[in-house]
Amino acid sequence: MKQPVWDLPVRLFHWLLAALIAFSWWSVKYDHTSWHIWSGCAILTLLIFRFLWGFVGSSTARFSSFVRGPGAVVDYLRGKWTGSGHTPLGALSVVALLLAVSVQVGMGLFAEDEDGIYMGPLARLVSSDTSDKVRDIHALWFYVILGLIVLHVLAILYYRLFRGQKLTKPMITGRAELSPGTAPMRPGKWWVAVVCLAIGLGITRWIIAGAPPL
Amino acid sequence: MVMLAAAPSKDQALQIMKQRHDAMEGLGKAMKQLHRGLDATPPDVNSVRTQTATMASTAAKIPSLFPAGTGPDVGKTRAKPEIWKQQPLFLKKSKDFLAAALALDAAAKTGDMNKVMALHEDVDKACKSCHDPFRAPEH
Repeated sequence: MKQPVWDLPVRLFHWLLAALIAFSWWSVKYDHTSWHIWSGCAILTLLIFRFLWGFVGSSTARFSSFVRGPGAVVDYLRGKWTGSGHTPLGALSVVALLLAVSVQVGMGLFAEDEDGIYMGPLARLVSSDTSDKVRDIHALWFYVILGLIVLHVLAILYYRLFRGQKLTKPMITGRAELSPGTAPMRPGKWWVAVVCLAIGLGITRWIIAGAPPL
Repeated sequence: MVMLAAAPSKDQALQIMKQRHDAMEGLGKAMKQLHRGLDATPPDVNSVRTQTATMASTAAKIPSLFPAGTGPDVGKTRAKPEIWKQQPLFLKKSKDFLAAALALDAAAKTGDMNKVMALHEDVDKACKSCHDPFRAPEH
């Protein structure tokens, strides 16, 4: 019987993030810079939400359940790991992606476009030269994210082709077949998710306003 | 500024292209400083005036910075061949930009920063509306 593994907030976060990263790439490539900035702000809200949910969310959403040391990774590679949610190896990829996207959004906040028409919400806090340099690194950093995405997709294909495990479907339905004796996900509370989202929206609004003194 | 009746020699062309690059980069820098000057509390009126003056004087030079024979076939430039294929449209866009830049500079001279803020959007639009058809992507 299929058991719950991913809660709705985690799934929504995952697919919205994927869609917004694609949209961010497209919008800046085709000169829709203001859409690009809004997309970055939306990703910021998602990241803040996910960070908080990583402490107070369902069992498989919590960092404490999947961020582990190298010992756990070695055990996993030797086939000694049983559990639900992110595997110790997959967790490294999740953490790397979350960090890389956070760095990217952080830089975007301080960047300005080459013509001086568009500015990230915090660009006015730094000099124009700094802002231009940040934009250049922001553009290059995309390749770091792209590399991690490629790795992520290749890993999913590997599990599908060589291990007979379908990983995409559980990220849509939230349920998967677990090996016997494995504890399924303990869900979080819906109102806690709403509070996390509200905090994410609040902080994003404050940043869009240029981070004025409180 | 070199004014030319006939097509420029390669050296002349490259020289104009260099002037053009510097002028456009200067415009971008002025735009960026303008933003910061307007956003400061209180607005930095002197800086705003310096930037709008730079923008107006550079805008006036644009038609002479794009003579025929200074396109991508001559040297590294983001100027698209369409500039010379659709010369009347290009000249109209540069005229629109000049009008927007002059209006902005006039507002800055009166010291009315709210007006500068409002007119600033017309300048943004004029930049974009010419870059979209006539400037190639950065890389």
